[in-house]
Amino acid sequence: MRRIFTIAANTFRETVRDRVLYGLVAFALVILPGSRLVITLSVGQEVRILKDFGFGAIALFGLLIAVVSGTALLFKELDKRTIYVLVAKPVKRWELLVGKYFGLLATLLLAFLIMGITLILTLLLMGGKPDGLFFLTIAGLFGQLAVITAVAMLFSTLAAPALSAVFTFCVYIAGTAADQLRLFADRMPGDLLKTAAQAVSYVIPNLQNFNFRAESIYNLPVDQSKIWLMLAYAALYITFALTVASIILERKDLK
Amino acid sequence: MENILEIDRLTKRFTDWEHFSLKSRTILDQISLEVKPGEIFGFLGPNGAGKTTTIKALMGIIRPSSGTARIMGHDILERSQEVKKRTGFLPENPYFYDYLTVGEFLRFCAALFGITGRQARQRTAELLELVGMSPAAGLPLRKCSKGMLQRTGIAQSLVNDPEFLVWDEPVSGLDPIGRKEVKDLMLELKKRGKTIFFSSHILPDAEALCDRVGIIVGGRMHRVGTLPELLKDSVSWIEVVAQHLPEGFALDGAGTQKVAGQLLIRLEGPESLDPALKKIMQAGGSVISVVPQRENLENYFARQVRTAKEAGQ
Ligand SMILES: Nc1ncnc2c1ncn2[C@@H]1O[C@H](COP(=O)(O)OP(=O)(O)OP(=O)(O)O)[C@@H](O)[C@H]1O
Ligand SMILES: [Mg+2]
Repeated sequence: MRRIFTIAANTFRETVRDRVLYGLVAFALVILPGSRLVITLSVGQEVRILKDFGFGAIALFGLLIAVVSGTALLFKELDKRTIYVLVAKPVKRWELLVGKYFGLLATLLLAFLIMGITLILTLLLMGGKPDGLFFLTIAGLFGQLAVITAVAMLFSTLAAPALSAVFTFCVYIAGTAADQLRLFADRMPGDLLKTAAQAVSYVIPNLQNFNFRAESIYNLPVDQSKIWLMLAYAALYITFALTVASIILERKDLK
Repeated sequence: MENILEIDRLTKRFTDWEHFSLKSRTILDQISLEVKPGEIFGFLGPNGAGKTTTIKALMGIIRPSSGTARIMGHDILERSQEVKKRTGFLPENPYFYDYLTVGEFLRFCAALFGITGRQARQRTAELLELVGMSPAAGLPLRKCSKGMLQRTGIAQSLVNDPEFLVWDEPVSGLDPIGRKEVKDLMLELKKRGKTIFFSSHILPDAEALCDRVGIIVGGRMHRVGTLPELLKDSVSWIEVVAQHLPEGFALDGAGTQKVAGQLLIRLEGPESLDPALKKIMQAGGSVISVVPQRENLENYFARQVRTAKEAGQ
């Protein structure tokens, strides 16, 4: 536990010092003037459009952090051989992986905090108010990216950052359309093809479990069970991805 | 007392894609050696002999293909945590997180052993002092010179006060003063009861430092023993420089060469020195210097490689 925390804290320090947060300041500077534009364009719809725009931007910036850092962290450690010193200390490889994961998650959380506060301020400025659904939506976005970060780290045990990033991005796209994907798989011709497609559609994380954007923007009621499902699904999927990643890393010769 | 390190028939094969087919290369071929408590053991061999590969296998960075190794009686794979708690490792050409300062890095390493807070700060300060890096504690690692990284690497290997040190090329990248300081540090650590296993491809690094050395050539353990023992059969000769000798002066079985008005005479073996000196005197010459020469390790290695290859054929 202590070692995982130490590595997480160090990873947090690494990613924060890695100029990721500077990009977020830029985000804050984009969304404020961006909201002005919205006001003049659509009278009466400002708050709704601002929310939509804000959620989209948070998802996009969060995705960038998760994919870029998630795929690069382990690779950098291997590439620059800084991992040698870690492995020779009483740190197990899975502890290293899990520590790095939570360190990156902490950075992501900080980023969400900065972006969320900026969005709330803009919202208040325009006479809107964040409600429970607003926070739930942002939590959902964070949940998606927590899963995607784990996927990015899993790919990074197998491939170089650029390739892992492309794969992770594909998983994100597929994951946000998971239900459609499943329907599509069910209609595949031929048993073999169908089974294969279904298997793929189940391995890919269903990110629709985390999506409250529609409810939030149109003020629809949310089912309690959907929240529990989201939490359980995230925990399970992250455990699954990190376990597979650990098994791969454990057997690997570090070069 | 039991051995600190026991390597038993350690073998490592790397499999690579080469010309569209899988090729397996044996990099370590049944390496065996033992290191006793309290000794400084030099692991010597030319570039590419497999020193770093052996050390990586010991530290759990790569997996041996076969064979075993035990450190302080624990199998390095099955009891890796016990081993690592009591071992310190310096990698070859160390490189560390460039986003940390020297001090932050050492505190991070200490934290991995559960040393935190004031204890960690104190330990860090001691280690920086020990390796002569105190003024550079706040320097970002990305601004460190090669020598400073080496010293930082040595400091981090000592953070858990280990009984056994595994250092890969500890004096490479250091200037002569730095080399001396590191060698003195090794002797000091030995005095404190530590055991040191270090690699080098330079003989003078090992001389006057090692209790025993092991020589690895082409992935095979060549010999293990004390240096004089190993170099006993290495070629040695004596160079005599004389002047005022008559034209055409020659000695049986010795090469001569005129250099700037003086004569350089190369004698094979110490037994020919006395007669040679007598002859020089009789011819009216005067001796300027007599210097015994020994083959350097590079030549020694080259010869061993040749013998090893011939034996292999
Ligand atoms: N990951 C790897 N895959 C394939 N071959 C490797 C790998 N690592 C090392 N080798 C090969 O193993 C051999 C021994 O390398 P090693 O680094 O152990 O030598 P060394 O004795 O440490 O040499 P040096 O004095 O240059 O540090 C070299 O021929 C090298 O090319
Ligand atoms: Mg080496």
